[in-house]
Amino acid sequence: MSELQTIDASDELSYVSLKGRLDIAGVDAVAMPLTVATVTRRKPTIVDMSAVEFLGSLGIGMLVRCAVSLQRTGARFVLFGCQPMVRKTLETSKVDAVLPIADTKDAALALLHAH
Amino acid sequence: MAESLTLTLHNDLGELVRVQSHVAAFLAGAGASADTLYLTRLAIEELTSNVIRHGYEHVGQHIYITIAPRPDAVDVVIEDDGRPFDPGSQSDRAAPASLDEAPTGGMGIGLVRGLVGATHYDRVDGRNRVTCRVPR
Repeated sequence: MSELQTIDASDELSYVSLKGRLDIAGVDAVAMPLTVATVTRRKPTIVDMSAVEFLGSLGIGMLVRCAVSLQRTGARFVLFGCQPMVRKTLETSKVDAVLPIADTKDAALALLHAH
Repeated sequence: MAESLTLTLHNDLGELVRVQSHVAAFLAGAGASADTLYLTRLAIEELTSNVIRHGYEHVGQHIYITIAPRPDAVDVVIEDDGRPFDPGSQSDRAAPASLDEAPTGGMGIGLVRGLVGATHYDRVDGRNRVTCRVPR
């Protein structure tokens, strides 16, 4: 299963972490909480992916939808800390061409404000 | 070497949780690596959910998943009696040019092809049969 934790919900930033498997059941569990914690806040967002053990196509779709919705408000959505197979999955989907992915939290924060 | 595992499920996405749990336990017992389990989960998740979403007009038909460990791979076979569909017939997508163009669905078969390898398709006795080989 999967879960979401909000780490920082300030005026400057939304910082959340995802945990577990983002398969069909996992996405069902966290899609709405992720939207509430990120998209509805309309802040620059970083997502700690280090505890995500599995990412399927539905999980990728969920992340893309959040990123697109935030982009429309002028805010960026950056993933960081992906485990190797999760990173490989994102690269295979080619979504990494347009969805920012960083190795560390500091690099993610830097990407949030890069032009 | 562990024998194969065959599971039967209805064409209902909710069945995948049960199936994946059995597959994980079976592969752990067969000494499969974490990467092999990941790729096997992915193949089952994407290929089976595709059958469930597109292969039938009504709930109630059956899908059969067989996992067979080999010395250097795990063979995954997914059989269903839904409409004829060859997942290998889908062409690869190009990378999106912008976030607005990024896909939110339809990526599953491309993920299997890119991460696991080519799928092999047969239509035999009214059933689709898709096989892929997950490296160990």
